[in-house]
Amino acid sequence: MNDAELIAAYLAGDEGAFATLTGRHLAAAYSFALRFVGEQHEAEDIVQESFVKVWQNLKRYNKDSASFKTWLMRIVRNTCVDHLRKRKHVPFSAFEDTEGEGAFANVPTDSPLADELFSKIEDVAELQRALGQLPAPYREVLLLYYGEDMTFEEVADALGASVNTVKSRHRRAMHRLRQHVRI
Amino acid sequence: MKIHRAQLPEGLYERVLARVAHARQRAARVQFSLLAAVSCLLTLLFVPALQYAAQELYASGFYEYISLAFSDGSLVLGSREFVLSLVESLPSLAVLLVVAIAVPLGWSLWRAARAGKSAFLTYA
Repeated sequence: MNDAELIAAYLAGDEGAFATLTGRHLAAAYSFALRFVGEQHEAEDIVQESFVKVWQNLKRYNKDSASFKTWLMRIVRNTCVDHLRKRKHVPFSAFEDTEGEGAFANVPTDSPLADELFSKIEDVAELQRALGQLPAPYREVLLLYYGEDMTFEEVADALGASVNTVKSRHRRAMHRLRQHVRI
Repeated sequence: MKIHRAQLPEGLYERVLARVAHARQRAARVQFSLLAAVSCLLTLLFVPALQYAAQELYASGFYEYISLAFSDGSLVLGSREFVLSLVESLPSLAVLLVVAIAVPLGWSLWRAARAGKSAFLTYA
Protein backbone atom coordinates (compact mmCIF):
# COMPACT_ATOMS: atom_id res chain seq x y z
CA MET A 1 0.00 0.00 0.00
CA ASN A 2 1.24 3.49 -0.75
CA ASP A 3 1.10 6.34 1.78
CA ALA A 4 -2.24 7.72 0.57
CA GLU A 5 -3.82 4.27 0.79
CA LEU A 6 -2.44 3.78 4.30
CA ILE A 7 -3.89 7.12 5.39
CA ALA A 8 -7.25 6.23 3.87
CA ALA A 9 -7.15 2.85 5.63
CA TYR A 10 -6.33 4.46 8.97
CA LEU A 11 -9.12 7.01 8.60
CA ALA A 12 -11.46 4.13 7.77
CA GLY A 13 -10.59 2.46 11.07
CA ASP A 14 -7.50 0.34 10.37
CA GLU A 15 -5.39 1.04 13.47
CA GLY A 16 -2.32 -0.73 12.11
CA ALA A 17 -2.10 1.53 9.07
CA PHE A 18 -0.78 4.46 11.12
CA ALA A 19 1.90 2.25 12.67
CA THR A 20 2.98 1.13 9.20
CA LEU A 21 3.08 4.73 8.01
CA THR A 22 5.16 5.72 11.03
CA GLY A 23 7.59 2.86 10.52
CA ARG A 24 8.01 3.78 6.88
CA HIS A 25 8.99 7.40 7.52
CA LEU A 26 10.52 7.35 10.99
CA ALA A 27 14.12 7.09 9.82
CA ALA A 28 13.76 10.07 7.48
CA ALA A 29 12.13 12.19 10.16
CA TYR A 30 14.67 11.24 12.83
CA SER A 31 17.68 11.76 10.55
CA PHE A 32 16.48 15.18 9.55
CA ALA A 33 15.71 16.20 13.14
CA LEU A 34 19.03 14.90 14.47
CA ARG A 35 21.09 16.73 11.88
CA PHE A 36 19.00 19.84 12.23
CA VAL A 37 19.23 20.21 16.00
CA GLY A 38 22.38 18.13 16.56
CA GLU A 39 21.26 16.49 19.79
CA GLN A 40 19.91 12.95 20.00
CA HIS A 41 17.42 13.29 22.85
CA GLU A 42 16.02 16.51 21.47
CA ALA A 43 15.73 14.90 18.02
CA GLU A 44 13.83 11.96 19.54
CA ASP A 45 11.49 14.34 21.30
CA ILE A 46 10.95 16.31 18.08
CA VAL A 47 10.15 13.14 16.15
CA GLN A 48 7.63 12.01 18.76
CA GLU A 49 6.00 15.45 18.81
CA SER A 50 5.93 15.54 15.01
CA PHE A 51 4.13 12.21 14.70
CA VAL A 52 1.58 13.33 17.27
CA LYS A 53 0.98 16.40 15.08
CA VAL A 54 0.70 14.13 12.04
CA TRP A 55 -1.92 12.02 13.82
CA GLN A 56 -3.82 15.13 14.94
CA ASN A 57 -3.90 16.59 11.43
CA LEU A 58 -4.20 13.45 9.33
CA LYS A 59 -7.80 14.24 8.39
CA ARG A 60 -6.65 17.55 6.98
CA TYR A 61 -3.86 16.06 4.86
CA ASN A 62 -4.51 16.66 1.18
CA LYS A 63 -2.70 14.18 -1.03
CA ASP A 64 -3.19 16.41 -4.06
CA SER A 65 -1.24 19.32 -2.57
CA ALA A 66 1.88 17.43 -1.46
CA SER A 67 3.20 13.93 -0.93
CA PHE A 68 2.91 12.57 2.60
CA LYS A 69 6.68 12.65 3.00
CA THR A 70 6.86 16.33 2.00
CA TRP A 71 4.02 17.11 4.42
CA LEU A 72 5.69 15.14 7.19
CA MET A 73 9.05 16.82 6.65
CA ARG A 74 7.34 20.21 6.82
CA ILE A 75 5.91 19.27 10.20
CA VAL A 76 9.27 17.92 11.43
CA ARG A 77 11.07 21.02 10.20
CA ASN A 78 8.59 23.36 11.90
CA THR A 79 8.88 21.40 15.13
CA CYS A 80 12.69 21.63 14.91
CA VAL A 81 12.44 25.40 14.44
CA ASP A 82 10.16 25.65 17.50
CA HIS A 83 12.71 23.71 19.55
CA LEU A 84 15.58 25.88 18.34
CA ARG A 85 13.61 28.99 19.24
CA LYS A 86 13.00 27.68 22.75
CA ARG A 87 16.60 26.66 23.13
CA LYS A 88 18.30 29.76 21.79
CA HIS A 89 15.61 32.34 22.46
CA VAL A 90 16.38 33.69 19.01
CA PRO A 91 13.58 34.13 16.51
CA PHE A 92 14.18 31.87 13.52
CA SER A 93 13.21 34.71 11.25
CA ALA A 94 16.31 36.57 12.45
CA PHE A 95 18.30 34.27 10.20
CA GLU A 96 16.62 35.46 7.07
CA ASP A 97 14.36 37.86 5.31
CA THR A 98 11.44 36.82 3.12
CA GLU A 99 13.78 35.78 0.36
CA GLY A 100 15.89 33.71 2.71
CA GLU A 101 18.89 35.98 2.37
CA GLY A 102 19.19 38.27 5.38
CA ALA A 103 22.46 38.02 7.28
CA PHE A 104 24.06 35.90 4.60
CA ALA A 105 23.31 38.03 1.59
CA ASN A 106 26.98 38.76 0.92
CA VAL A 107 28.04 35.18 0.44
CA PRO A 108 29.43 34.66 -3.07
CA THR A 109 27.18 32.62 -5.29
CA ASP A 110 29.67 30.40 -7.10
CA SER A 111 28.61 26.81 -6.55
CA PRO A 112 31.12 24.01 -6.04
CA LEU A 113 30.09 20.65 -7.41
CA ALA A 114 28.25 18.77 -4.71
CA ASP A 115 29.74 15.38 -5.61
CA GLU A 116 33.24 16.77 -5.50
CA LEU A 117 32.60 18.39 -2.14
CA PHE A 118 30.86 15.45 -0.49
CA SER A 119 33.38 12.92 -1.75
CA LYS A 120 36.01 14.79 0.21
CA ILE A 121 34.03 14.66 3.43
CA GLU A 122 34.67 11.02 4.19
CA ASP A 123 34.02 11.03 7.87
CA VAL A 124 30.35 11.06 8.92
CA ALA A 125 31.21 12.99 12.07
CA GLU A 126 32.96 15.65 10.02
CA LEU A 127 29.92 15.99 7.81
CA GLN A 128 27.74 16.30 10.91
CA ARG A 129 30.09 18.95 12.31
CA ALA A 130 30.17 20.86 9.03
CA LEU A 131 26.38 20.72 8.68
CA GLY A 132 26.04 21.85 12.29
CA GLN A 133 28.02 24.98 11.51
CA LEU A 134 25.69 26.00 8.74
CA PRO A 135 22.86 28.43 9.50
CA ALA A 136 19.55 26.59 9.92
CA PRO A 137 17.97 27.81 6.65
CA TYR A 138 20.93 26.42 4.68
CA ARG A 139 21.23 23.23 6.68
CA GLU A 140 17.60 22.25 6.17
CA VAL A 141 17.88 22.61 2.39
CA LEU A 142 20.89 20.26 2.23
CA LEU A 143 19.28 17.76 4.60
CA LEU A 144 16.13 17.51 2.54
CA TYR A 145 17.80 17.65 -0.86
CA TYR A 146 20.72 15.30 -0.25
CA GLY A 147 19.44 13.40 2.76
CA GLU A 148 15.93 12.64 1.57
CA ASP A 149 16.39 12.81 -2.20
CA MET A 150 13.72 15.45 -2.50
CA THR A 151 13.52 17.70 -5.56
CA PHE A 152 13.93 21.47 -5.21
CA GLU A 153 10.17 21.75 -5.70
CA GLU A 154 9.50 19.31 -2.86
CA VAL A 155 12.04 21.04 -0.62
CA ALA A 156 10.38 24.37 -1.36
CA ASP A 157 7.00 22.86 -0.52
CA ALA A 158 8.28 21.39 2.73
CA LEU A 159 9.90 24.66 3.78
CA GLY A 160 7.13 26.94 2.59
CA ALA A 161 9.58 28.88 0.42
CA SER A 162 9.85 29.56 -3.29
CA VAL A 163 11.91 27.27 -5.51
CA ASN A 164 14.26 30.14 -6.34
CA THR A 165 14.86 30.80 -2.65
CA VAL A 166 15.64 27.13 -2.10
CA LYS A 167 18.05 27.06 -5.05
CA SER A 168 19.74 30.20 -3.77
CA ARG A 169 20.07 28.73 -0.27
CA HIS A 170 21.42 25.51 -1.73
CA ARG A 171 24.10 27.37 -3.66
CA ARG A 172 25.12 29.40 -0.65
CA ALA A 173 24.99 26.38 1.63
CA MET A 174 27.39 24.50 -0.62
CA HIS A 175 29.73 27.47 -0.63
CA ARG A 176 29.73 27.72 3.15
CA LEU A 177 30.10 23.96 3.51
CA ARG A 178 33.18 24.14 1.33
CA GLN A 179 34.62 26.81 3.59
CA HIS A 180 33.91 24.74 6.71
CA VAL A 181 35.59 21.59 5.40
CA ARG A 182 38.53 23.61 4.05
CA ILE A 183 38.62 22.16 0.56
CA MET B 1 25.68 12.16 -3.80
CA LYS B 2 23.88 11.40 -0.56
CA ILE B 3 23.83 12.42 3.07
CA HIS B 4 23.30 9.08 4.74
CA ARG B 5 20.58 8.69 7.30
CA ALA B 6 21.42 8.46 10.96
CA GLN B 7 20.86 5.14 12.69
CA LEU B 8 17.57 4.94 14.55
CA PRO B 9 17.90 4.69 18.34
CA GLU B 10 16.61 1.43 19.73
CA GLY B 11 12.95 1.58 20.77
CA LEU B 12 12.23 4.93 19.10
CA TYR B 13 9.49 3.41 16.94
CA GLU B 14 7.73 2.03 20.02
CA ARG B 15 8.15 5.32 21.88
CA VAL B 16 6.65 7.28 18.97
CA LEU B 17 3.64 4.97 18.81
CA ALA B 18 3.25 5.11 22.60
CA ARG B 19 3.30 8.92 22.51
CA VAL B 20 0.69 8.99 19.74
CA ALA B 21 -1.43 6.50 21.70
CA HIS B 22 -1.10 8.68 24.80
CA ALA B 23 -2.15 11.80 22.86
CA ARG B 24 -5.03 9.87 21.34
CA GLN B 25 -6.17 8.65 24.74
CA ARG B 26 -5.98 12.14 26.16
CA ALA B 27 -8.00 13.58 23.27
CA ALA B 28 -10.56 10.79 23.68
CA ARG B 29 -10.91 11.55 27.40
CA VAL B 30 -11.50 15.24 26.70
CA GLN B 31 -14.04 14.33 24.01
CA PHE B 32 -15.70 11.83 26.34
CA SER B 33 -16.00 14.45 29.12
CA LEU B 34 -17.55 17.01 26.77
CA LEU B 35 -19.97 14.51 25.24
CA ALA B 36 -20.93 13.12 28.65
CA ALA B 37 -21.72 16.67 29.82
CA VAL B 38 -23.78 17.33 26.68
CA SER B 39 -25.60 14.01 27.17
CA CYS B 40 -26.42 14.87 30.79
CA LEU B 41 -27.74 18.26 29.75
CA LEU B 42 -29.86 16.75 26.98
CA THR B 43 -31.20 14.09 29.37
CA LEU B 44 -32.22 16.83 31.78
CA LEU B 45 -34.13 18.47 28.94
CA PHE B 46 -35.47 15.19 27.60
CA VAL B 47 -37.32 14.16 30.81
CA PRO B 48 -39.59 17.24 31.03
CA ALA B 49 -40.06 17.19 27.25
CA LEU B 50 -41.27 13.59 27.54
CA GLN B 51 -43.62 14.48 30.42
CA TYR B 52 -44.97 17.40 28.42
CA ALA B 53 -45.53 15.17 25.40
CA ALA B 54 -47.37 12.58 27.52
CA GLN B 55 -49.68 15.28 28.93
CA GLU B 56 -50.36 16.64 25.45
CA LEU B 57 -51.12 13.15 24.16
CA TYR B 58 -53.68 12.65 26.95
CA ALA B 59 -55.18 16.09 26.39
CA SER B 60 -55.50 15.67 22.62
CA GLY B 61 -57.45 12.40 22.87
CA PHE B 62 -54.76 10.55 20.98
CA TYR B 63 -54.82 7.63 23.45
CA GLU B 64 -58.59 7.22 22.94
CA TYR B 65 -58.06 6.97 19.20
CA ILE B 66 -55.31 4.43 19.74
CA SER B 67 -57.35 2.27 22.14
CA LEU B 68 -60.26 2.42 19.69
CA ALA B 69 -57.95 1.27 16.91
CA PHE B 70 -56.78 -1.67 19.03
CA SER B 71 -60.29 -2.66 20.01
CA ASP B 72 -61.53 -2.53 16.42
CA GLY B 73 -58.78 -3.06 13.84
CA SER B 74 -61.17 -2.74 10.91
CA LEU B 75 -61.48 0.97 11.69
CA VAL B 76 -57.81 1.55 10.85
CA LEU B 77 -57.89 -0.52 7.69
CA GLY B 78 -61.27 0.60 6.44
CA SER B 79 -61.56 4.28 7.33
CA ARG B 80 -59.27 6.90 5.89
CA GLU B 81 -60.97 9.54 8.06
CA PHE B 82 -60.05 7.63 11.18
CA VAL B 83 -56.36 7.57 10.25
CA LEU B 84 -56.46 11.30 9.49
CA SER B 85 -58.14 11.98 12.84
CA LEU B 86 -55.53 9.90 14.57
CA VAL B 87 -52.73 11.93 12.93
CA GLU B 88 -54.51 15.22 13.63
CA SER B 89 -54.83 14.33 17.29
CA LEU B 90 -51.08 14.04 17.58
CA PRO B 91 -49.69 17.04 19.53
CA SER B 92 -47.16 17.99 16.86
CA LEU B 93 -45.27 20.58 18.91
CA ALA B 94 -44.69 18.17 21.78
CA VAL B 95 -43.67 15.35 19.44
CA LEU B 96 -41.33 17.70 17.57
CA LEU B 97 -39.76 18.78 20.86
CA VAL B 98 -39.16 15.19 21.95
CA VAL B 99 -37.61 14.28 18.60
CA ALA B 100 -35.49 17.46 18.58
CA ILE B 101 -33.97 16.43 21.89
CA ALA B 102 -33.90 12.66 21.38
CA VAL B 103 -31.90 12.77 18.13
CA PRO B 104 -28.93 14.81 19.49
CA LEU B 105 -29.14 12.87 22.76
CA GLY B 106 -28.81 9.58 20.89
CA TRP B 107 -25.96 10.96 18.80
CA SER B 108 -24.05 12.29 21.81
CA LEU B 109 -24.53 9.02 23.74
CA TRP B 110 -23.26 7.04 20.76
CA ARG B 111 -20.22 9.34 20.35
CA ALA B 112 -19.56 9.33 24.09
CA ALA B 113 -19.59 5.52 24.09
CA ARG B 114 -17.08 5.45 21.24
CA ALA B 115 -14.86 8.07 22.90
CA GLY B 116 -15.13 6.20 26.19
CA LYS B 117 -14.00 3.02 24.52
CA SER B 118 -10.90 4.77 23.09
CA ALA B 119 -10.22 6.61 26.33
CA PHE B 120 -10.59 3.81 28.82
CA LEU B 121 -10.37 0.48 27.03
CA THR B 122 -8.16 0.55 23.94
CA TYR B 123 -5.02 2.08 25.44
CA ALA B 124 -5.58 1.33 29.09
